[in-house]
Amino acid sequence: MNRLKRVLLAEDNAHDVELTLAALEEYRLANEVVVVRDGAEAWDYLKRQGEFAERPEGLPAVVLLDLKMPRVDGLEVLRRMKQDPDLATLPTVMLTSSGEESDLVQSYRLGVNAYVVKPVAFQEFVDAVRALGLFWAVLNEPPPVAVRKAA
Amino acid sequence: MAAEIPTSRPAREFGTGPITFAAALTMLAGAATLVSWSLGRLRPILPFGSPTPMNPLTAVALLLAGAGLALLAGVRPGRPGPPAARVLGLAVMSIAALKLARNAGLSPWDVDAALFRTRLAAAADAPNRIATSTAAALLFSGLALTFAAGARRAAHAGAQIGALVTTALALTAVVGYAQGSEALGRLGGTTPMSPDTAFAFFALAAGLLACRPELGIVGLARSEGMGGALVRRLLPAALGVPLVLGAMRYRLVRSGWLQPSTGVAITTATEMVTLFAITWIVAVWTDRLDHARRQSERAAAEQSEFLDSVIESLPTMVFVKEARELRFVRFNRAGEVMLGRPRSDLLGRTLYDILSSEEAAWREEADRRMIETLTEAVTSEEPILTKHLGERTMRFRRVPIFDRDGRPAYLLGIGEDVTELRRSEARVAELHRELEHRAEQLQASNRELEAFSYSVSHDLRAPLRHIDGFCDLLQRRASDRLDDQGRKYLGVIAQSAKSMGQLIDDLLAFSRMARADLNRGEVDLDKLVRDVGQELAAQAPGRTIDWRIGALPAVSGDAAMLRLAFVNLLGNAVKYTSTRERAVIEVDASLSNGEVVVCVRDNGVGFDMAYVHKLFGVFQRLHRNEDFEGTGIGLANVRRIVHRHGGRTWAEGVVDGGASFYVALPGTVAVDAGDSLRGAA
Repeated sequence: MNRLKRVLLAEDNAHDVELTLAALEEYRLANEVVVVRDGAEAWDYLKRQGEFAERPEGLPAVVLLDLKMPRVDGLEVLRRMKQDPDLATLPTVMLTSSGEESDLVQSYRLGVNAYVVKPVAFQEFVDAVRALGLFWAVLNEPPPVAVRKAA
Repeated sequence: MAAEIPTSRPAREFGTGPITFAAALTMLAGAATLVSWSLGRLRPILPFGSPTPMNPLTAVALLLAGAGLALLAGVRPGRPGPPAARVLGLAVMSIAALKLARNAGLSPWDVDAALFRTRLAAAADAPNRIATSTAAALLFSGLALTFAAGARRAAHAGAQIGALVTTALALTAVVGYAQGSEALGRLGGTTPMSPDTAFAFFALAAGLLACRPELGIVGLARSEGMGGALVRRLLPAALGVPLVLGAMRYRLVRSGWLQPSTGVAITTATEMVTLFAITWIVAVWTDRLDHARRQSERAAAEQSEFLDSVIESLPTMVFVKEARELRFVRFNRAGEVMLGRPRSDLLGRTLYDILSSEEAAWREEADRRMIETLTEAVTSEEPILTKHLGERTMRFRRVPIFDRDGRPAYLLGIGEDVTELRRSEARVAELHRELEHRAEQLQASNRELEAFSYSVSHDLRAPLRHIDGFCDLLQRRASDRLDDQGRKYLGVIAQSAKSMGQLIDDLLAFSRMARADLNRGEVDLDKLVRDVGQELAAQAPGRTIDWRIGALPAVSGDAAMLRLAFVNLLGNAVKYTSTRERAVIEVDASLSNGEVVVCVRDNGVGFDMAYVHKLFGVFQRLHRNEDFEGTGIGLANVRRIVHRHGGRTWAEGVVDGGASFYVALPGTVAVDAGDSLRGAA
C-alpha cells in the first residue's frame, strides 16, 4: 500500500467531522486529516495565509468540501481553486447532504472531480467515504504540482 | 317612341354663337338699308308683301340695337352686361320715344326725316317714315336691350317681355303682308312696317331671348319637362298653321281661284282640322310620355322606399347630414331607440341646435375633417349621453356622399354601440393584470418553496445522519456493555432515523416533480408497463403473481415521469396483494371521449371507498405501517404526474376485494394507438 497522504476536510458541523473521521479511521485511510470549519479557513489553508501562514509546505492529496458552510461556502472555495493556477488541478470532492440538482450541476460546471451525497444511514456513509478515500488518497496519483510541493 | 324621362336638369347653354349671329343679322339689315338708301334704291331688300323700304333712322336704330346685342354675347349668367350695351339700348329707346312723341303731337321734330331728307321727299309713292308699330317695336326692343344688360333675373324677365312684344309687333306686320293687309302693318299710323324691318326685329328679338336661354319662355321651351315639350310642339303649329293657311288663302283668292268667302271658310275648316290633328298627335304623345314618366316615378319611388326601409331596419344608428351646414336630413329608428329621442328632434337641425356649442364643435370635428380632406371614411369613438341607457360609447363611421361634380353633398354616418365591447375589453385587461399579478405571486411562492425544500434537504437530513451515525458508532464500540433491551432501543432509534430520511427524500422528490420540466415525447405504454412489471416481479421472488397486461397504446408524455407513475401504481398492486397466495394484477386501456384511460386492477386488500378522497394525498395512508410499509407519497406522485400531463386519476376499491386505479390521459393518443386499442378490445 502506498503511503497515506494528507486530506483537507472542510466541514462546519462537528458531528459530521467526527463521523467522517470515524469513517476514514474505520478503514485507516488517513494518517493526516486537516479539518477546517468553513470555506474561509479552507482557503487560508490552501493559500498558506492567515492563521495557516506557518503551516508546513505542500498541498493535500484531496480536498473534501462541505457545500453549505458559514462565511464562504463550498462552491465559492471550489470556484476560487479552479481560478488559481496552483490549485486548479487539485482533486476536489463535494461532500454534501444535498441531492439538489442545481448544486450538482453547478459543482460539475465549476470543475469538481466528484460529488457525494452524504447518506442518512451511517454504514452507507462509511462505505461512501471509504470509496472516496481509496480512490483519491490511495489509488489516484495526485497531479504533479501537488507531488512536487508535497515532496 | 322612346320613353324619355324628363328631369329638372337645366337646358344646355347656347353659347355666344346664336347671339352674335342675331346681332350680325340685325346690323346687316340696318347697314344694307343705309347702303340701299345712299344708292337711291328705294325698295325693300326682301320682296315680300310691301314696297315700303326701311326708314334710314330705323336702320340706324337697328345698327345700334345690333351692336348692343353683340356686346351682350359672352356675358356670363348672373353678371351685368357692359354699360355700353345699356347706353345703346337707351339710345334706341330715345329714337323711338322721339318718333312716338311726334306722332302724339308732343314733339315738333320729324326725327325720322332727318336722314336722306331729299330722297325721302322725292319718294312720294313710298311712304317710308318710321311706322308707328316700328317705333313701338324699337321702344320695346331698346327696353329689352337695356334690361338684358342687367344682371338680375327680374331684369331678364323684362328683357324677354320686351323681346316678345317686339316679335308680336313684327309678326303682325308679316301676317298682314302674307294676307294682303297692309293695314295690319300700318297699325295706327300712316306708314306700314317694312318687311326688312320686321325680319330685323325677328333677329333682334331672337338674339335678346338667347341671352338667358335658361330663363322665361326660352327656358320653358327648352326645358326637358312636359311644358317644354308642349311649347316645342304646339307653338310652331299655333303660329305656323294660321300663317301658312292665311297666306295660301290670300294667294288663291287674289289669283281668282277662290271666292273670298269660300277662302275664309276653307281656311277655317283646314285650320280646325290641322290643329285638331296636331293637338291629337301631341296629346297622344304627351300621354305616352306622361305614362312612361309616371312608371319611372313609381319605380323610383319604390326604389326609394326600399332604400328607406333598409336604412330604417338597419340595427345600427344611421344618419345623413347635408355637407354644407351639417343639418340632419335622415335619422333611422335604431338611432332613435339608441338616443331615446324622436328624429323630429334632429331632422333639419345641426348639433349646435341641440348641444352646447362647445360640445357640438368637437363632435362635428370629425365631420368637418372628412369634408375638408375628402377622406374616404373617418372613424371616431365618442361617448354619448342617451335618455334611457345612460352614457354609451359609440363608434361612428362617416362616409362622404359626393354630388355629380365630386364635391361632398351629404355625409353618411353609421353609429355602433361598442359600450359592452369596450367594457369587456377593459374587464379582460383587468383580468389579465390580475392574472399576471397572481402569476408573480405564484412565482414568488415557488421560489420560497424551492428555498424551503433546499434547506429541508440540507438541514433536516444532517441531524438524522448524526443520529444514525452515532447509533452505529455506539453499537460498534459499546454494544457489549448494553443488554438486549438497550440494543433493541438502539436499533429502533437507527431505524426511525432511516425512515425519516426516506420520508424527507420522498418529499423532496415529490416537490421536484412539480418543478421539473415536462419532456414530452411519444411513450410506448405497452413496453413501459411490461418493463416495470418485470422489474417488480424480479424484486418479489417468493411471490406468485399473475400479470395480465392487455395491449396498451402509445401516448404523448414525459417517459421518465410516466414510468415513475406506473412504478408506483404497479408497486402498490404488488404490495397490497402480498397477503394473497396468488396475486392477479391486470392492466388494460380503453379510449373514451378523447382520453386514454389506463386501469390497473388487483385482487389485493382493497380499501374502504369512504376514504377514497384521502388516497391520492401526500403522506395519506389507509393502512398501518406494520401491515404494509410505505411513506404515503406514491399515489400523490401518480396524481401529480398525471395532472401535469393534463389528465385525471381516480380509484375504486372494496375492503378485502381488490382495488382499481384509473389514469386518464387527454388527447395524447399517438397515430397507431387506435389499432392497438382495437386489438386490446
